[in-house]
Amino acid sequence: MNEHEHDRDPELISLEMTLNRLAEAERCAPDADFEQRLHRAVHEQVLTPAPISLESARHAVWWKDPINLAAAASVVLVGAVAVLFWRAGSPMGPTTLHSPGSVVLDVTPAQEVEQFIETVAWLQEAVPDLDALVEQAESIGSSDEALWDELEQTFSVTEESI
Amino acid sequence: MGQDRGQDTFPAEGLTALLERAASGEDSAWSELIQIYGRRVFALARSRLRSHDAAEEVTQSVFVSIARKLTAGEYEESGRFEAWLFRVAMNRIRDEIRRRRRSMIDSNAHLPEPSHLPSPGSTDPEDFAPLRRALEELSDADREIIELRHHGQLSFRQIAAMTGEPVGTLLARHHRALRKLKGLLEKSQRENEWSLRDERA
Repeated sequence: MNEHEHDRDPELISLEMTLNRLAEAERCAPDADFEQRLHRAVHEQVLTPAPISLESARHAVWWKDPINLAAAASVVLVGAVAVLFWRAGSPMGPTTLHSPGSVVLDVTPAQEVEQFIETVAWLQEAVPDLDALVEQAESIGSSDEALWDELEQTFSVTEESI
Repeated sequence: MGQDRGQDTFPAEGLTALLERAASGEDSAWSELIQIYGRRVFALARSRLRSHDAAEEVTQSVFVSIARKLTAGEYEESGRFEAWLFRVAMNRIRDEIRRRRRSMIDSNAHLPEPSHLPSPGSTDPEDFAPLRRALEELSDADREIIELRHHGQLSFRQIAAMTGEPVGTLLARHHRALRKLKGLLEKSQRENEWSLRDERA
């Protein structure tokens, strides 16, 4: 089969020759090390792939790996939940969590009044000697007044002596 | 001219034996394959991408890709190695062109026409700029057949094996593409003459 039906057209033949020269110029464009660079790429990436270098290992930060990132997020989440449970059970911590997800037991006004009466009754039983306490407080106040009188007298005497 | 291309580049031992050695991971076989096809793939990529660095990058990626497939036994030699190699090359070149178009759209940038860029390290003995500009004005199909034929040095039979189109169709397309190219060159020459005449006037 004749592949060159335009062989008889001298202008097209001339154009083909120019195209061939252009193609030759493109093929000659790379430097003498071009083949070596290609061979090195094939050798390093396919024939003997190098083990992971220290340099690349150093640059491979753990948080760029989605698996590591997911594991870290899980640990943080579990830790946060554990701390919340611990604080909820601790005597130092709050007993109620005021968050949208928490459950607060409702107390009716009647129950509140009943609790108040019980508290007052407990106070009356546990601290029965309230009158004695009042007397002691009053005596502290009177002793203070006597002390101020004494001080005033001392100052006036001192002033006179000066 | 007039002879089928591609055949004269076969090594003495035969391409099949060379590919067998390459598939077994023999370094010297890869050296030979690169020696035979490296610059042909590069020329094809450089003509299309108009960038030396991008063309070398694409060429490396093509050889790494075929090395992976050959050593993994994913290629079975049936006398169509060149068609396969250049199909991989054309796919990589098209990917690179698509990537460039995407990045141009993303950055909303207007890059200058590649043909107006100076050729890096150009040692052209003659000025190919008008021919390069004319090639860029051809349709993808016309340009592809010219570049596969001249830059890739493939025969029409190899191009047919690569594209799956009949040899007759490819011959006709090549002829038509050459005529269009000739027309574009003549038009460009006329415009240059007019502008020179205007300058003188």
